[in-house]
Amino acid sequence: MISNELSQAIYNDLIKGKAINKQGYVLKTNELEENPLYNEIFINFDEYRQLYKRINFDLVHKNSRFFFIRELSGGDANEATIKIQALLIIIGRIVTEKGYLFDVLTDYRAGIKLEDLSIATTEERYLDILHTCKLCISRGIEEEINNHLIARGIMFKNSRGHYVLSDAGIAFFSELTES
Amino acid sequence: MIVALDRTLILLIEHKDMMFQLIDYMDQNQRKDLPTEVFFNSIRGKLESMISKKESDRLNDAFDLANLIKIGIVSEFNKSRGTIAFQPTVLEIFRLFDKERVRGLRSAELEDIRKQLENAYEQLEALSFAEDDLAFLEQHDHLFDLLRRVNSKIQNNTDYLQYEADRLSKRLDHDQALLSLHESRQHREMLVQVKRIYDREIIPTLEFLNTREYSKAKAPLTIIDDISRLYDRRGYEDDSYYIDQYKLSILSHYKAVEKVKQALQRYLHQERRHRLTYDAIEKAYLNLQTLAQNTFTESLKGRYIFKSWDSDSLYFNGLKTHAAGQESRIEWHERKHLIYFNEYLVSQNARKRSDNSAEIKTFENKHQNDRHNMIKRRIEQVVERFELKPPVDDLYIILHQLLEENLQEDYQLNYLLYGVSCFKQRYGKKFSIQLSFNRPQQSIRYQNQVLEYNKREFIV
Repeated sequence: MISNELSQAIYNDLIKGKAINKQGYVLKTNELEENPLYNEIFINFDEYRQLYKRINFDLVHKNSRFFFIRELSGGDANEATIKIQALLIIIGRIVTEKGYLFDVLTDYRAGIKLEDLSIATTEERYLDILHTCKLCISRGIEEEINNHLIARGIMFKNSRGHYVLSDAGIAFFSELTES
Repeated sequence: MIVALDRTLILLIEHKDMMFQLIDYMDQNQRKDLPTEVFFNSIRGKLESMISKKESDRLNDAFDLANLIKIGIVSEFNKSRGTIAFQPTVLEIFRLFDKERVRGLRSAELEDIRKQLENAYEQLEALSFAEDDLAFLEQHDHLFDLLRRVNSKIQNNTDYLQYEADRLSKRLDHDQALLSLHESRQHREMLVQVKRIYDREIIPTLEFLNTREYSKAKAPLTIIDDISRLYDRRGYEDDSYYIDQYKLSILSHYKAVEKVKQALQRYLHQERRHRLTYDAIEKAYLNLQTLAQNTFTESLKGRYIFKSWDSDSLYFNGLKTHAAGQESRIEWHERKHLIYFNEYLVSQNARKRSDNSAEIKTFENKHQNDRHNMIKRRIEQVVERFELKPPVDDLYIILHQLLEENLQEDYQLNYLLYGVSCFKQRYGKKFSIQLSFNRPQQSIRYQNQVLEYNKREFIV
């Protein structure tokens, strides 16, 4: 049975282009907790899917880790997606190039500092890529990450102020590795 | 001056830290010789650290390169290349002093042992096994010497592998590894080290000790079996038995090495996972770079990647475009929010209070019988005459008692509000009245009526 309260919260997130992750980070306790919104969709997936189909969206369940909605009549929708993917690849590459464990990005207690990521805007090889994706032209890397990754639930900031991948972000890299 | 081999060796052992440094240098740079500069710097450092001049002179004589060459500790000195090499036996002695510096047997060394065993078998097969055959006796001694050495090498190798597995496990299981980037880098380097030990030392050792699987080259332990059978066939049952014992002794290390292999396997999975992730990210990055280079050229500045990116390769393909981050934000200025919140509560309470007094729900709503405001005038006079000095904790109670006493049967509880108002008019300018908001509110009961109010303190 769909819960009115949760379905409203789910709609608010999905319509803003936000992913609904299996686990959510709680800043107060510095712990990951089960996301009730994810569980709500998971239990009533068919109903929700039908519901969103009627308003021209495809409700997608990816890698059993998160949900998001895809516009059925796409258009130029992929510009935002390309920005997200480019940012994720560059963040991943910065971590691996520096020789850190990739787990630093996925462990909610760890994460990577903004200073470590600022190399993306100081080195030309990264900046060229970002510019061709219309990123970091007038904004800094922090703002781009906040707009494209944090606001969409693909990353979050932990209690240390470090950037960490959420389930959606982790799923992206898992698929990258498996493909 | 020549210092004897035994005395020089004793001095080297006494100052083994210097030898450890040289061994570490060779291991780190994966070489069997040393640049002479490294050797001389090390000696110089040692001599400078000596306090006693006599001791320093003794070391200077003993560690002099000419002396070391003369007594055979340095087996090779190449002036043109500027390198020296220590006698391998000397290095092995020092490696035994510290397990961390013992080197495992690698494929090449194990293959060398296998070849020696194969060679010994071929030579013995061609011999007569006659007791007076000098060639046989010589080969016989050589075989047992070889078996002893192989056994000892495998023993040392097993010890080394166990020690390394233990050392690496302890460091890799350190839970805090992820919390600092520096430690995470060390963690990753150790995983690479595990992979190296696994591939280059553990697997070759297990293959060496394996008697069941056959490849093109005969397994070393099978060769020992063949030699044992050869001795048995030629009537040397006792020797055959001893050879079998050597084989069993060597084989007994299989289980220990297998255990080490299993212990390291989970780190190997970790390392593989990391490697796959790293490779995948690198591939994705190079692809992204190529796409960017194709779209962003000198002549076509300002072109973007979007049209050239295949939508099927996008993980979040079709994701709803509008994101919360693009909306207007809540401005949360830097200020003391506690003060603002308290102010808000005071104003809310004040509003509540004025609402309450406007509708005195506990009173009967019937019109009070006070024609021509007679009672109000009396209240004004009573309050005017009343001399009250601050501080007073609760103004309502004092005035209630005053009015009750003076108005007697004409007094009603709602006159108290008027009394307070008169009092404020009289004293308000001279002294101050402080209002306090407490829950529950103060109350006065009089003739089945209740007045709930916020306390007013009369202060200087």
